[in-house]
Amino acid sequence: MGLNVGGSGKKLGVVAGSPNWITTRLDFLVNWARANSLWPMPFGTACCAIEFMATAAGRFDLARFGMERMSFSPRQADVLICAGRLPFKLAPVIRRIYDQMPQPKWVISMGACASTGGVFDNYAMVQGIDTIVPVDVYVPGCPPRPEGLLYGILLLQKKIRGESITDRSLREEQLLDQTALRLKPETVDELSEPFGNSVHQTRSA
Amino acid sequence: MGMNPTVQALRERFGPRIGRALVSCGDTIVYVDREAVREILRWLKETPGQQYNYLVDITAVEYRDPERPLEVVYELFSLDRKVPLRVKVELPKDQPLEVDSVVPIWQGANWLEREVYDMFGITFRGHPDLRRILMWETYSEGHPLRKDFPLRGRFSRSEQVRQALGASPEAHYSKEELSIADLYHDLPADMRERLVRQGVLEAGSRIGSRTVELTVGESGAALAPAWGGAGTAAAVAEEPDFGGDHMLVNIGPQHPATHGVLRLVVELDGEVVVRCIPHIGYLHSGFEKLGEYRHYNQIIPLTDRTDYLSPMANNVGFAMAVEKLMGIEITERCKVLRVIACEMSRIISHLIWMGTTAIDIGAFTPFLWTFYERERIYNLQEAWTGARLTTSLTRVGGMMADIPDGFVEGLREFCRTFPKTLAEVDRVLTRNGIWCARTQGLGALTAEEAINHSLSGPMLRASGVPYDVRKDRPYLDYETYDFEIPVGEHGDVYDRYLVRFEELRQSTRILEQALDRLPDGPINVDDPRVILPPKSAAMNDMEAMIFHFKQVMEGVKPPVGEAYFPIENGKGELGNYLVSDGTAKPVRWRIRPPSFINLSALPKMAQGHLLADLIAINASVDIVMGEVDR
Ligand code: SF4
Repeated sequence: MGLNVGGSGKKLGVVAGSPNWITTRLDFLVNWARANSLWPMPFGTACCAIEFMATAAGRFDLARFGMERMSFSPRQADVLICAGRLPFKLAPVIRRIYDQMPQPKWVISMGACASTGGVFDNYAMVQGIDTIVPVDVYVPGCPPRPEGLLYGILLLQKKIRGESITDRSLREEQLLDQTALRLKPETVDELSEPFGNSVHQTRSA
Repeated sequence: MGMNPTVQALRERFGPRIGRALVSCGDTIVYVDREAVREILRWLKETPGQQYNYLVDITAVEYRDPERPLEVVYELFSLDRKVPLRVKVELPKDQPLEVDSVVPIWQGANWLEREVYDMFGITFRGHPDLRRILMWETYSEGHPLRKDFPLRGRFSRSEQVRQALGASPEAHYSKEELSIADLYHDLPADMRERLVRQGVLEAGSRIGSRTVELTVGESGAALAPAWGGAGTAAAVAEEPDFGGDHMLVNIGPQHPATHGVLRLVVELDGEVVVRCIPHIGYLHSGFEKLGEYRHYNQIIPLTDRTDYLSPMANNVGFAMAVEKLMGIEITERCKVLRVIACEMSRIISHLIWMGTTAIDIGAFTPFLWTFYERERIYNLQEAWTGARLTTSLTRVGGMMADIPDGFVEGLREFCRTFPKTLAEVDRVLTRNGIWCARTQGLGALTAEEAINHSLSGPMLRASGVPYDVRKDRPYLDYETYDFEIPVGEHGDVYDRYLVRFEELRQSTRILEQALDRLPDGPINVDDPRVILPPKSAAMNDMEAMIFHFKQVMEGVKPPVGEAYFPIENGKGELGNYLVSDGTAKPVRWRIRPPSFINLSALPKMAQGHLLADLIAINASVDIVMGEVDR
């Protein structure tokens, strides 16, 4: 079956002479299964989605990671890949899609826009989808190359392999509070602070 | 260039209602009386000898000087005489911002006027459906392209997030949709309640033939998911009454077959589309506003991200518009390189269209083939620009880089082998019974309808109108290349496929000719106003250093004026309209978005077809949401 305990150096215990039995940790088995058959919910909005499609197509071949089964229904998806910018008008949509995904679920934020708002530090753009949904892996780039996305996916698999099914805190639903925010307003403001030279670019003259 | 003689004819016909006229960068601009604009535009369209039958664009301009009036800009083109004309109306700020709608003259004005209304708050009297189009209908921060609107909006980020999340997606159903065959009464009870609570509807108001009867409890209960969401107590308790004839189906904004975040609300009679109402703006990113805060060369990276399926062509289009504004004549080598960039872009744009449309209609294999070919272009593009997708290839007055070693051979190899892939796609699709059955006779538009809707690109040509900017308003010496403009006959989905298919072949031909003629020489103009001096000179020579400093710190400064420059990209006529007040940042950067305008004809095309065919028709428009929503 080719079960490898990735990176952790642990050996899988196989009882010699008995082909019908293997012994392993439950966590390991569950995580192995989860990590290697992530069904992505491709939430492709903008340019990054084109690179996402390139990742799924022949040359980069997402199928190698057990991910070729795109789940266009959030109800059967494991990982939400937000590929592209997320304007405010789309914010309630991604939120609802996230809410509709069953646990366990993960989120990859692909690209500068999804992660921080990117070049769009303006009235229309959510400054990072982590103000709307929790994010597990950020893939930098504008757009990230397919290799970059694949690396992010590998990181997510690594993260999943480190999880424990007994740790219930991992699977808690993050509900919106009364103000419809997931984070505290101050936190949202702080996360959305302009940085670098973009603060100087607000002058219109 | 002199003034367009139409101005004289207008003066003779309309006398004092024609205001001043001027020529800026070769474009004739004529100001007309705001009360007479509809009459004048109708006259311009219908009078023999004028025949400005094609509405290119409607937009508005607000100047930085708060005293100056707002301007509504009508960009016209005569398809028969190949002459452009820009008509403007001034709206002083101390009077109501109102002007007559021109939708009765051109259907294509519908969405354009809605956009101006959304972005500037200008009301178009007599518009059939004037509501916000890019921002959501309950958006409360104002009109983003007004100069008093801050770049980041009026509210704090947390407040913006709160309002956005608090707005339920259902609140974006328009009143019109809710009036569809009294569909309001078929909505689940919780959705109805939410609509009233959020003020989209008022209890007691009339919708269709019935009155909104509803008692809203002050429950303030958490919003329940209603888009196929879990049934809430309310929804279960009161089953919707499906006794009516028609059904409302919502497709998108997250749907694999909508080519991005497009949302279609469809009224169905059985399986037949009675009405289809597109909702856009889910990817509105504020490009045009952002452009007002950037130097001209800094805008070029933004153009990559509008129509991200053909970034290099966008770079070229924008740079050419600035060059028109500044009166810069680019070098011969640069011209040919830009032709190569444009045609490579057209190929990758059409290829992605072909692949994804084939998937929509049920053929997966062409997707893999076309993506394979795209990767080959991407390799070349990457070698040239350093990026697969966000190329930022041009600069005002030249190119970011010359082509690298081996590029010419690589592109020749591509041109030699690419037709083989095309032949394969041709073999599996063009005469495939399923493909023909799913595309022929669908979404047909006649030539008049296509022109009336301001369509451009393959959409227009499939309907039999041979308008191609490369031929009719030539730029980059396109008139010296030998290529054909394929034109369709029926204007249906199949013809659009054939037109794009043939354009792929023609683009390959153009590429070969461009490679043959590629001259040596500099890629940049010799003009220190716009082009950075070489690094070595900037380090050693005082004058060069000053130019370098000024360029970097102050940017390129075009003179006062305005220019509209169209190019033909994969989707259609991509125009860049720039207004300069002499500073380094444009007063207005308007993208004339071909797929936005093409998409606006979707309701017309979809009517009377099956729901499944709607997917094919929508695919045939070849939209890219980054450009539709900007
Ligand atoms: S990160 Fe860059 S490539 Fe990705 S969506 Fe944003 S602008 Fe486009």
